[in-house]
Amino acid sequence: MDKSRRKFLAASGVAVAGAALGGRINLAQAQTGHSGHNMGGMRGSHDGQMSGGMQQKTSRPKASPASGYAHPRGNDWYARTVDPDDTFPPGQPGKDYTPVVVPNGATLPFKIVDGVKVFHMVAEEFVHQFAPGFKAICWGYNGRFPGPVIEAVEGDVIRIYVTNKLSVPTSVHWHGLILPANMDGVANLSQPVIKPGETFRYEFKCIQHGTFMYHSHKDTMTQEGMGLVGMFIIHPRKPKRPRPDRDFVMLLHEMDIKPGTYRPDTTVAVGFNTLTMNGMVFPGIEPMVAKLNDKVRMRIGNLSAMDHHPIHLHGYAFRITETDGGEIPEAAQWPEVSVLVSVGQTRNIEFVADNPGDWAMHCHMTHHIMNQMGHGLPNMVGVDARVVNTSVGDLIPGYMTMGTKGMGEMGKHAAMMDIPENSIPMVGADGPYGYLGVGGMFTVFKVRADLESYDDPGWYNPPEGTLARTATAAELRKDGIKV
Amino acid sequence: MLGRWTKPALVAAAALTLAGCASISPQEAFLAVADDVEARTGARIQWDSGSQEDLEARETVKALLSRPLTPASAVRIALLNNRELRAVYTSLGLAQADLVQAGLLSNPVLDGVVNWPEAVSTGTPELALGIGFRFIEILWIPLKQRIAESQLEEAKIQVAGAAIDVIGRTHLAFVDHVAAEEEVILLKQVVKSARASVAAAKAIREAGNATALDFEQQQALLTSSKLLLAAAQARVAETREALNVLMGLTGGDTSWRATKRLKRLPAREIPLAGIEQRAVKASLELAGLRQQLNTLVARYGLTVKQAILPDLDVGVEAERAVEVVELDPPEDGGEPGTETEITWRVGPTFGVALPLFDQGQAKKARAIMMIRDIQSRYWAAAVRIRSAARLARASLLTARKTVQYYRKALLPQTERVLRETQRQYNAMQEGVFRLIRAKRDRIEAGRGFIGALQTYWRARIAIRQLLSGRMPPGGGGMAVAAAAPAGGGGGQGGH
Ligand SMILES: [Cu+2]
Repeated sequence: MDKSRRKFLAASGVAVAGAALGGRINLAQAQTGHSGHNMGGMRGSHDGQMSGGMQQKTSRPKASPASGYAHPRGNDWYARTVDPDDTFPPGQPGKDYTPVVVPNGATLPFKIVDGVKVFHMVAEEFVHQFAPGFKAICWGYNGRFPGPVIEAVEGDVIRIYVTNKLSVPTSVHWHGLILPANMDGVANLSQPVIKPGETFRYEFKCIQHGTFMYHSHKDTMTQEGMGLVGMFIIHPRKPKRPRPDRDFVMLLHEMDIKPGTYRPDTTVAVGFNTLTMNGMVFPGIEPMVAKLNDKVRMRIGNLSAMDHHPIHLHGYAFRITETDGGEIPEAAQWPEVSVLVSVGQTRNIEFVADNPGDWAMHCHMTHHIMNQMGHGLPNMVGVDARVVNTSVGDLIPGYMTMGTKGMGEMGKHAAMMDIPENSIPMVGADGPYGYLGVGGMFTVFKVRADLESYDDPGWYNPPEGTLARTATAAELRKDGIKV
Repeated sequence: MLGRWTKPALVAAAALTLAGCASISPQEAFLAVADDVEARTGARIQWDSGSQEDLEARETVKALLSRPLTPASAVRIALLNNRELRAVYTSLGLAQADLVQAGLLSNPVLDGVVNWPEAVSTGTPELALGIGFRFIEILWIPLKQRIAESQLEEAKIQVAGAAIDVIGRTHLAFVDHVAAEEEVILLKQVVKSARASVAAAKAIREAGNATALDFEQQQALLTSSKLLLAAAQARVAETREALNVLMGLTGGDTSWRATKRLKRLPAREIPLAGIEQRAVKASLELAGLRQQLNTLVARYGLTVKQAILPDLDVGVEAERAVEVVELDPPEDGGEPGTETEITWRVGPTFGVALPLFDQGQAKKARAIMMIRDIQSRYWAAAVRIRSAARLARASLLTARKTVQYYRKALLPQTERVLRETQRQYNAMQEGVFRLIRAKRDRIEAGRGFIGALQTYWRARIAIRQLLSGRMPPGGGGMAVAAAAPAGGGGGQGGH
């Protein structure tokens, strides 16, 4: 780290996340980056600068984002509840919208200056933890991968400062937003690059509502791949339907981090081994919790490099209600149990949490619920391990043939074996009835009748007679089942 | 004529007296050689022709063979038991006998015995002439003795050289043999690793998970590794037989065992300063040539006034002009004494009158040619010795560095590679074949290490030989032909 950079960091007070820039890995920092996921994204000095979204200023925005620019009106499917030329006081959380829930994540704080919501994003390098025992040097915003969720209300005028603390030029693209062409953030097409150390100012009016995203639009293979991504939520000014009780936001992403390494390999094009929901892999992903009969919305975005993800929710049929293009007319909403979220898309699903229990929710691509899966190995399934164990064990003490019965128990073994540092190959977690041999894009949706808070309520206790179990001999006999 | 009867008789008597001083036994000469060899190598040679001593030697050899052979014990056995060396020892006896012979008035006595009765019966004057001839020969006895003495010295140098050669060759054969045995042990591990790959490939193939190609590739690797092992085993037999020949062993004596491992790198290197000069100084080859010159000088009755062989200790420049001085210029004048440093002392002064000695011109020319021959060979030998010394020194230092590099770098590195491969294997990022491959790379590094260590000891033996006065065995080449490249060989399995 050179002197000017050190000075710069000291002045801005964001030394913690920037320390990884020197190329040295300080994994102790990861905890700082991700402890307290409900802190609203406020870290370090940002607390001082940003007062959060709870100010009671209600003045109308003074600064119009642009003169000589007419808001687009040509397409009537833009999701709108008010006229884009109308002006409104900045939307207030709790009053104008129910804030979203971001498992393992945070929302970006703002302050209101002369009726404009002002945000500050810092693109930087830091150590990110994907799950206990697994960290890597990532890029992101405000020390987070994915960056904090930007939350606004239709009609808000927002101003976003983007400071580049990376060693490379960058830009931020507001994915799906309808805005003036030169606020769109495509480096060298809609704007010059944000050079290292520079702070850019974006300003526009939110003239639509829905689920959107943001991400770097400079060297996207590297920069998106390293984690410069985030979600952008705009709530409707005048909702046509009741607000959901639980409004979850989830961004899907993928990286390739070989066991024993500390940095995503963004040159990888297939066979990614780190499949993330909000930057985490199972068992690092927090469960989503709802009260019985809560109105639930899940907003799922995908900024993976190369993979679409069919996200499957157990125990429910839901409706796909919105895309990042707008609302789907009720008559056109498909009932579904899996929602395919392609790269560069968002999907909203909605349902009533009327079925209590612990429900798996995961990408249905089976390789996407594995952690750090190795590829190109000999296929060992069904191989007689005894003869191999004898001949190879004789040569290499401690050798054990693995994978002859598949991967189910491998994570459990890996925990006991000598494996490369900074890796959680195939690791899952203990479930209520045994080892959950899953990883990656897997989480649990927990619905309970009685909840005191939305904290993790623990494992579901099934009502009498609703737990699958071993059949008794009498039952088999009675039903004429021969085994 | 009567006066000439008395003088030879006196001389003959004097010669007989002189001859009586020289022993017929080569023991004294041998002891001198043994001392010299011991001083040069630390090993002592014995030459016991008596049956009692033979028995003792036999017991010693048996005792030495009952324990694992070491370089020292192998050398001891070779020095006791190598028959070729014993044959060389006899040259001492021959030279000693020649020396005695040179001092004897043998010819008159012997000729008398043979010719006398004939002469008596015929009454020819040949007897007088014969006596006259022998009378002159008697005058040559001191000269002949000087020649024979010098030749005995030559023989001693040759015997010492032969003994030191046996020592060096035994050391070399021992190192090669132990290295070959270590190579066999490592190649057995290579074969074992290939067997493990085949076992894994077979099990995977039987499960229906691998192609015939996958399996055959592993099979082929096993086959080629077995061939490598067979070649190494042949090398063990070769080096074993080389040792058997050097140690003069046959039959049941050949079932000895050698120590298991090559000695590891000694902490300190033998002093290498001035190695060229020391090798030149120690050289028995150069000493032999000097002695040949002495013999020549004696034979031609020359007096060397000044060194005519280059002072090689200084180790410089071009050949120095050697001049031959004529002490007694030929009566006809001849060439002026320009190329002088050797003086003629041709024949007894009273003999110049005899036509037998001619003018000495041809003889002189021959002597000069022979001197030049020795000078050239001496110079050539010195060039060879110096070159061998430099090569051995360079080889030794390179080999030491190589061995250390193996020990400090490649061996631990391949060990770490193996460990990390195992960890990646445990994390299911690598397959069983890559794991076995890492093990094999580890073994191959071990083979490279043994090869480097063998090269080191060969260089060390070369230096020891040079400092003991002989050229390195095996023509001075230090490189090990069969040294295995680390990590090389064998394609990788299909996975
Ligand atoms: Cu997926």
